[in-house]
Amino acid sequence: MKRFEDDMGRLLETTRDLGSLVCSTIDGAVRAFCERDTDLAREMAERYQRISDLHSVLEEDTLRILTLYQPTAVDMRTVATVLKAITYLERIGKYSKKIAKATIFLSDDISAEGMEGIPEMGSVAVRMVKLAVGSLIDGDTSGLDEISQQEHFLDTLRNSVIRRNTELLRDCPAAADVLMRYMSVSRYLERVGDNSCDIAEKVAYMVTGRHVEIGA
Amino acid sequence: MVTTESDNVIEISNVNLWYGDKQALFDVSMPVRRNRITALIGPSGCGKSTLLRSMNRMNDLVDGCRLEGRMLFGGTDIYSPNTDVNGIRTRIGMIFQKPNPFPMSIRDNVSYGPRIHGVEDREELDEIVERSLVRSALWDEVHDRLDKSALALSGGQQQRLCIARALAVSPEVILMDEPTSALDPMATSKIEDLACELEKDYTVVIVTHNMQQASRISDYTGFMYLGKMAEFGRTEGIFNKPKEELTERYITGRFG
Repeated sequence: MKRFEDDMGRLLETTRDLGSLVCSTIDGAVRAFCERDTDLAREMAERYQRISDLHSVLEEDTLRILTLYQPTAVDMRTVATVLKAITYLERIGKYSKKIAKATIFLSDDISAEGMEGIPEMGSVAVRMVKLAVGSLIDGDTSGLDEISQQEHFLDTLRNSVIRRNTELLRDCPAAADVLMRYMSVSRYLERVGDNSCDIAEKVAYMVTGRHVEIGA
Repeated sequence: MVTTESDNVIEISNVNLWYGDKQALFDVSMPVRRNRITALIGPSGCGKSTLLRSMNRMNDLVDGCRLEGRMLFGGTDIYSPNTDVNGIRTRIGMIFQKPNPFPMSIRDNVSYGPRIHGVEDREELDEIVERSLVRSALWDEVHDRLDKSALALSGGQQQRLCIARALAVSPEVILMDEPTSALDPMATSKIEDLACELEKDYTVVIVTHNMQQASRISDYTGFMYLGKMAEFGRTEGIFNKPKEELTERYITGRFG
């Protein structure tokens, strides 16, 4: 039992590390995009490899725990939740990389016009990931309502980014390349929010044993 | 799933049981669903074997054993003074922890029950022997040595022979008291497959210390603690999200 609990403790600790790494990467990627900082963008793009490696380590750890201890009840739900959550976190890492790549691609072309709403979307998305990972580690559902609210807010921001950029595109079709990238970045951040909701749903199941929908 | 009374082959209500002055079961109630496998789990001394043995009045053999409450089998009271105990034990068979074949041939082990019930016709007995051994998944391994001693069989084969012996008298319910605890994993797996196969035609109640075994094969699980039925429900629910914290602690190994 002690060995199992030590292994579970380490699993959650490493999941927390993955969560922190993903949060700081997405935060850095959005900052790099908004500040046209290609060096930071490169650093964030390269960081994806670390996220992917940590994801693989965690995947192996969860499978090893399932094989060795055949957990039941809340233990089983926790291991299953970690297994799903790390996949969502790895995907969020991939979106960070896409945002970083968009920054590198655009570099000097990035202008403030059309950017409106994206920094805020970045903060909301990072907040959602933090809440979701925190709920998972603490086995606490009290932050899940906020995730749901933030998801709606993120959708509203995304719609306004799309609207604004569609207008700009109409006025200046020559800037299509740049404007399309803005829209893509807003799409990536929206997906970060969706994946955070997916983690939150699994956490709700982990804690209560019931399936719920969050942010739908 | 809607269940009705007739889905329950045995109905246990408010059963208390004493061995002399010592009370072993406290107000135990649970159904035994027809054509389903019900597992009883719980720490040593929690009363699960006592409860199992009370279902076919095996505890009658223990001096000073007394039972109060109601235990119905197909609507009739198992503990009514008019109940034919041998009849009950024929219809509710039992498999023990340690295989206990009689020191006689494989054939005679299986035909023993039908013979004492008056079946004399050789052909009919042969048919019962074959049918029972096929059902207990032993036929292919022993059909060419039916007249050899049963004691020469491996532990797992002996346990399946005991199951064949129980099946030979056409029971409705088979009670299994830790039937695989003396067997290796291969033999255990065969007994588990067999229990799942038997479920189609019989009702099985199994006492086990092996929680994975309970979760692998049973449809319903009763968790007992200190002589009480702490929780009873669908196996999936018990092992995924038990209602009682006590059950949760037991099945996750955080007990005591």
